[in-house]
Amino acid sequence: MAEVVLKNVCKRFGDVVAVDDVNLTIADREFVVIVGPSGCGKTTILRMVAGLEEITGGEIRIGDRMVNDLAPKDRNIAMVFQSYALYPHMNVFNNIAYGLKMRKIPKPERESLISKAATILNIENLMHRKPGQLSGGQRQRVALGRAIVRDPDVFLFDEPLSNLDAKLRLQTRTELKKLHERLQATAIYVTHDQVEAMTMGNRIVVVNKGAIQQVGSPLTVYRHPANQFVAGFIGSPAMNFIPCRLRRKMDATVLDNGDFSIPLAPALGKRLQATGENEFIFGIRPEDIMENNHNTQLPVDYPSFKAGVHVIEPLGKEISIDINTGEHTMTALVSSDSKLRLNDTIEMVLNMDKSRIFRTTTGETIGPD
Amino acid sequence: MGLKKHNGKRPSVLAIHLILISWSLVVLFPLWTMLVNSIKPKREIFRHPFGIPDEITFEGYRHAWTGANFDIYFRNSIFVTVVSLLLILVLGSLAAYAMANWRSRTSNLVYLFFIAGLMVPIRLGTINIFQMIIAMGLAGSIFSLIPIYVAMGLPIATFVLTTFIRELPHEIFDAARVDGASEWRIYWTIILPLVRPALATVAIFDLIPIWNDIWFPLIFNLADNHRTVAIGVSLLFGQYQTNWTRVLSALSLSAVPILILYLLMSKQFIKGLTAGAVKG
Amino acid sequence: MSHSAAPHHKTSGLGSEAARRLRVWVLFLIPALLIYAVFMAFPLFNSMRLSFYTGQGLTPDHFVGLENYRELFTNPIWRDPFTNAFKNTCIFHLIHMAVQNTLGLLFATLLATPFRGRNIYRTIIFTPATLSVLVTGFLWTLILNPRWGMLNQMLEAVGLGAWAKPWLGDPDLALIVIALVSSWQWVGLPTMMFLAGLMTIPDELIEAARVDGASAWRIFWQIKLPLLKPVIGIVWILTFVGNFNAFDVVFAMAGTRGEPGYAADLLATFFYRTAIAGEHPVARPDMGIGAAVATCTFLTLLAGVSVWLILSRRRNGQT
Ligand SMILES: Nc1ncnc2c1ncn2[C@@H]1O[C@H](COP(=O)(O)OP(=O)(O)O)[C@@H](O)[C@H]1O
Ligand SMILES: [Mg+2]
Repeated sequence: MAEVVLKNVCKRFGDVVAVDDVNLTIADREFVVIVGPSGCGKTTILRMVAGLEEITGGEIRIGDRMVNDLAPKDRNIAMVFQSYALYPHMNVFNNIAYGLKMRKIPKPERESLISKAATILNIENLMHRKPGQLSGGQRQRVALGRAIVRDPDVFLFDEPLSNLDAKLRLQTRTELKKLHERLQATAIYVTHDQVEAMTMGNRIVVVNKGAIQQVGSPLTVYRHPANQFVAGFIGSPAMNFIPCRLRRKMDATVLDNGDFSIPLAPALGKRLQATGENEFIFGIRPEDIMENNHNTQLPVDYPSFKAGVHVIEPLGKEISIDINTGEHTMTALVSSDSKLRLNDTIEMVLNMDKSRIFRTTTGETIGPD
Repeated sequence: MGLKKHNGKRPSVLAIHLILISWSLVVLFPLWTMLVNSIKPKREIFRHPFGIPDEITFEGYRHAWTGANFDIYFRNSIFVTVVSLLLILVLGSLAAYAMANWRSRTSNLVYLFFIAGLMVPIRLGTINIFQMIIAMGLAGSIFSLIPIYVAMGLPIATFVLTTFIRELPHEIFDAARVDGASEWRIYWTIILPLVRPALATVAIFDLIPIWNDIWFPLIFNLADNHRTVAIGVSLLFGQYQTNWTRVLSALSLSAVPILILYLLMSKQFIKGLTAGAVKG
Repeated sequence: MSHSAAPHHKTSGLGSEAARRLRVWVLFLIPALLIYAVFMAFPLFNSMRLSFYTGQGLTPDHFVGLENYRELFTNPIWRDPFTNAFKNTCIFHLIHMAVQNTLGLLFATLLATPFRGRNIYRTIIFTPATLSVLVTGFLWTLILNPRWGMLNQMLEAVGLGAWAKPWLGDPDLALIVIALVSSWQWVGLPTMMFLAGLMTIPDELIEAARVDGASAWRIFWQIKLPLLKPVIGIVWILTFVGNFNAFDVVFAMAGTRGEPGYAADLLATFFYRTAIAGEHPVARPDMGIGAAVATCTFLTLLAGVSVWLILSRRRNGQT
């Protein structure tokens, strides 16, 4: 088993910088999720760890070996590809056996390893079918089988669930987690789906434009996003971003968005002023915009405002509504007990404890804490 | 609506059949003439050239096979064709695998270099090829044909196979690399089985010009026991122009193997022979 | 961005894995590249180089600059047969375009409508393309033979005896007849290419036009033909290259001198005589002149291919 270390790793394709100075340490037996929008360089990172893509700069270590110069076959990794990449002309058994054959594992041992993997994945009855005769879920299992049978140091998963339908995806998620606990190997799991990332990772790595934005537990990146990108990318429906101007209002510092102003704690106000900028982004998640009624137990000085209801979208347990305050439109979540109707005017209040303030220039989080 | 459409189509389908049947007769008549008269005695050919023979003779075939050495010519033609095709397929698919994987300016230039051969007939270089063959001491030998046919077949082979391999899901090769296979193993165990349809296309495309080539055998002036069927036919034609039975037997003999192959797999043939053009 | 900060481990070690890959690709490429370069590309350029040399025998070794070309273009001994062969090749090509490719388009259009028996016609139309040109040529020579040829017999049998002709003996007819025989053989290729092209036209397009009230004729001219342009381009360039390289059919039906009296002489037969067999009245092969002929053919082909590339690129640019 092995620790994986990426140190200042870069990858350029011609003029395109696909991966930009990535530093990441993945502990032995850890399950790390890399998440980011499509095209941000996730696959490229995995492929560099696998040795399928040469790195332009930096260093990759697996265990105590520096693997920059090692061919994929010498790195003892296994990879599950987005398209599964099963060999179309071989049946399931031979697909799984291929890697063992290449490693010259003797036949009897090979067969027992394969049947063990088949039992774990519940694909024993598919062994003689060709990939073309399998459903998406079955193919995905065979791809997993091909990976686990080799007993690698590191598993690399490239969006392995993205080709499954929603229900199967949910089910496979939990199975994958269980499988990881059972196999006790280091795993790097890549996905563009932040919900998947939040539910699967002990630690998630948010990537954008080839660079790591934040590394942390699901709750950390959700509650304390390092910057506006992470805040907007993690969480659904996405966080509301409201451009504001820093203003003095009597003794206090406030953020004024044109429709209403948001009072700031004195320390925070000072911090914002210290930047010398006066444009900031105020971020608030939909569930932190609440109907201002007696149920809300928020301090009275939290900003409240009147807004018109534009869109109503029932999500099941909750209702997502788009509200308009004049200049701005925001998304809020209200309980499905709510009797709201389209074009109603309601009074809303912001839960300032959960709000975030970002610098317009760099996107980095500057407050409230 | 459906009824109307049907009625409206009737006469045009008739016209289509009429045109196509006429042309089919134009195509089949000469072939019929060749085959049926090759087994008629000479006198009968003149009496009724198009009918079924009253008396069947295989004198023409016998003469061609033993008297005119067609047994040797056939062996030579088959040897040259098979060896050339095998080399084209193996070398072409190896090169195609490399070019489909190795993406760089150099490999693009190499690819273009191969592709250029699609538009330039190898015959334009005949003078120098002839000199090289003589310098290599291969003059008059059947072996002189093989490298030339391989060179001639490689542009279409690399073109069809590279296009084909580039369209295969690339992650399959990566999966094999992660599984621990060398490029050579990937070529044998993954590429070759997967490109089989494209190999068939290439084989058919190159088969016909190689089997039928007359230019190089003629220019290289092959020794008698090194001659190919095509050259044999032209010799025999010059010799026995008035002995129709013999001439037609020789023509049939050289045409029938490919004709049978074609009738057995006309779909692949049509696809193969049209491939280079449609893809481009 | 910040990649400049990356430490430079790369140059030392990274080379080995990259170099290993590169070595494999080069190794895979070399056999094919070598044979292709040595036996096709190199001889082509070397043959062109020889067009600047003169000398007896196999290897012209005396450099004469453009003298061979001057001979070819001005000395009547070379100029007359050369221009004759060039003109004949052009006529040969035009007949293919007019007959072979028009028939091909017609057959393809007919075969593109679904009806039973299509595949049989397709197989039949394509059959001659699998024959050796030599076989086709000889076979038709026999059929067209003025004394015992079957065509004349047939014409007599149906009362058209007056139409009987020495088809291949008439200098005005020989080239045309040979071109028609060649078209007979190859018509399957354009048929299949046009058919493939027609198959890619979406049915909805045709149906929409039909709903708009367009006649079949209009649909052909205004929808199908414009959409077939790329295929037409490919068919043309392949026919062009094939025709300017044609030898076998003339060799079979009119000999290496394009009988009668050079009436059917093409560039390839002319080249064969100058470079290999020896041209009358010199009667000795002249490799230098032959190389000049090959170079002229090459330049003609190059011009054709360039025209095709420019036209197809312009079309791509438009859409
Ligand atoms: N082989 C390649 N050549 C050029 N650009 C590439 C190549 N592979 C990836 N890229 C570019 O690198 C960036 C990251 O790609 P990728 O790692 O596939 O993203 P992701 O997996 O996160 O969707 C993209 O902008 C992509 O266009
Ligand atoms: Mg990806």
